Amino acid sequence: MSATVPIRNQVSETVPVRYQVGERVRVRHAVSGGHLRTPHYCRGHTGVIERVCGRFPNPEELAFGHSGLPSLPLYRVRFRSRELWPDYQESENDMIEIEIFQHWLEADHG
Amino acid sequence: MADAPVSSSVVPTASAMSTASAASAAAPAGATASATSKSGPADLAQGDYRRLQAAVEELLILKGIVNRDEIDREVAAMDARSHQRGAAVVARAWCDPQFKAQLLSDAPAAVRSMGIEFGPMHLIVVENTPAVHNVIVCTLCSCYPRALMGMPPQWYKSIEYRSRVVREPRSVLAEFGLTLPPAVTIRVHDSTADMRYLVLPQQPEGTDGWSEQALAETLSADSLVGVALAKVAG
Amino acid sequence: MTHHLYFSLIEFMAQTGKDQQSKAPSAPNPSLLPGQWPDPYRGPHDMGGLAAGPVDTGDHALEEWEKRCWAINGLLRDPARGAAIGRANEALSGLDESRRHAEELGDRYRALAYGERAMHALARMLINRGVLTADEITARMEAHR
Repeated sequence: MSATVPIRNQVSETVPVRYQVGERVRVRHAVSGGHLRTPHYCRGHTGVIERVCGRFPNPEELAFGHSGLPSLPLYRVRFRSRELWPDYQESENDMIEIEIFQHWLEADHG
Repeated sequence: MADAPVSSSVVPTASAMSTASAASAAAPAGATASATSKSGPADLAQGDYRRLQAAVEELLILKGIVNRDEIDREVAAMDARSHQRGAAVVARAWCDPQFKAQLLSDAPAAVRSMGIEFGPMHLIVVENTPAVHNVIVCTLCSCYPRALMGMPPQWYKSIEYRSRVVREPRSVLAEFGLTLPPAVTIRVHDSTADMRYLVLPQQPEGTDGWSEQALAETLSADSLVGVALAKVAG
Repeated sequence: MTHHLYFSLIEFMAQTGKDQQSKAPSAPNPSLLPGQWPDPYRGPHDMGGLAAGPVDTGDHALEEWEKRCWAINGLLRDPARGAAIGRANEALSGLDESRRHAEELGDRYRALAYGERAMHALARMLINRGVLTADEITARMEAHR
């Protein structure tokens, strides 16, 4: 990691809410050696913002004893079960909703 | 706050626990074994975790960080919390449309109006309808609306439930004796961060005009996380 | 963008394109055995979608020591607790920190019961934070033999 990379964001920073209800998003298909609250099964998949939950301290930082600040926007993202599991055997309307922090999401433009 | 070191030199239980393991070989099996893992052998017998708990508690008391009465009080409060709180909230919602509207839009405020402080977590109440059935899980650990429900049941924390309910919810619900028509949409809520979830089940048929108390008795803990329906006893 | 001190994020999708995307998140392999993970970066706790046996829908009460472990964890989350050891306004326990220590059990995660993982995590967190030493814990455990 470059020495110029700040090791902590400014605590006073307010991280803007980037996505709105109804917007299509894709979960980053990424990994980390740390502590994550983004389940493996949704990574790389697209869903729709169901609601904006507010801002909460970053669990990936809290897990190592840091403040988790600045708090990050947290969303509930709705996925079709068949999007997550292409061979999903049950009803095609079934869905799963997952809380995902903003830095794990990117806009999905189809 | 000081940075917590993460080097392997602070992986202490290697020493603490290998000593414990050696000790356990000779230890009397004084501990009951009712909660031992079904999934395989552990490094430590269950009695070792009991001893680990006792050791940590005593040290924290010796250092003046906590005292025994405080722990006892926390345990008593834990024992006093049960799904009856959640059931009372749902029964109120069935009887009072205004309360129900608030419960669905701002659940922490609604339960606070009943004298229940939800605590630092946020509460979301999801409503079952003839078309949609909600099921709650925490695939990553065991997040559960404890303030309204008490401690989660064993199955909620199990590897089997956490692994499968997102992938094959109907098969899992069938194991609880609940079969839903294919036309009903299942909405599974994975409680992965700071929200906690309570299901607002459909009111059982034939209970119109019942008191809140009688209605609350139709609600099991299972029904409030969506693996059962509300139902009239008998 | 958040920068992570301990582990920089690795973007797989950009590197490997559609092929990688179609492979993962993979459908659970029915033959997958506990402890065999399709992705080395998938923690042992991150089990949504993996194959598993039938759910035992019964319940049994927590044991007293499990409740006390949980109670202590809750009490230590109060930032007022640190003052007793000269660490004013410092909570001595954190939920995500406790989860992280349980996840670091690796393959042992599945072998332990829920309460055992919680107790393991509490002890490690307290040692990691310098609240207790491993040696004093060992000595106290010996006394309970």
